[in-house]
Amino acid sequence: MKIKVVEPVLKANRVMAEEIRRYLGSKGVKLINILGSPGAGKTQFIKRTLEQLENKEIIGVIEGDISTTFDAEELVSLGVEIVQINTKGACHLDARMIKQALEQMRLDGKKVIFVENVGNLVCPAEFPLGEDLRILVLSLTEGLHKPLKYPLAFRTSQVLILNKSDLLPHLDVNPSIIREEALSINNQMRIFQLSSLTGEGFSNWMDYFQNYLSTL
Amino acid sequence: MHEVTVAENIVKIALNVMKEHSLKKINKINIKVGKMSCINEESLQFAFEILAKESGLEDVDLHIIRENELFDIYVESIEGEK
Repeated sequence: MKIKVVEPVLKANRVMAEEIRRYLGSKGVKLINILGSPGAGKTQFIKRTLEQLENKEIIGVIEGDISTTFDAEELVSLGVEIVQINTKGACHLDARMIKQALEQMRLDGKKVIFVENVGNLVCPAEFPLGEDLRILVLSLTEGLHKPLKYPLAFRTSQVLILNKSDLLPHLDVNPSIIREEALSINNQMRIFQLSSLTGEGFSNWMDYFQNYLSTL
Repeated sequence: MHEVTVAENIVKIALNVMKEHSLKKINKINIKVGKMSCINEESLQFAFEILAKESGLEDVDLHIIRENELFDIYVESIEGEK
């Protein structure tokens, strides 16, 4: 006999992610999931964003790494609350890990929690964490055609950060090709080309982010 | 890279269906995988084979159907004997 099932394989994660989203919503907090390859500049992007915010206390950060606490240490000096998750080998964060991390974070007075996912363009895309916004950080040094090679990450993210624009003079990369490819996968995507190191192009992103904060 | 997680969940779903419908044996599990899902079919088959055996599911054919418009992975149907 054949039994019709039609059950998503990763349903358990999705159900928990939805619970997290609703729980945070009841506290007036939004979660922002930040994905990207290892070395794309996710930590520096978060760091500069925080540096440019006057009211940092409304932000919390959950740092996901396979091991080590280097990224969390990098952000400690900014005075924001950070919870580190070490996945001990797992290639992505899942909703269960976020639920545990949130138990260690004070939510009163917070509006946004940044989650820096494990550096990986493949797996994190498949695991929602209860986020309101998904940001993909892609560095221009990663070369062309990433949107076509890793379409799921691009399809499921609302914002694309083309990072390390300061290195463009040294690269044989045409950012407009990356833009076109990204938009062919997800035509709603907001794209910001910037350098988290020098700050060039950062004000456009900050305008967008301040506007996002003002709607919360 | 998360094929083991996917395989674990497929086995879990199969065992639930087996219990719910009082099946003696499962012969085939049909799963649908969207073309955007970055699942490696060979790794998934390999992980499934090991995890299924550990859970007492022997000789189960994991049939993977690729769907165009989806980026989901889901168990579509299960074939077995009462």
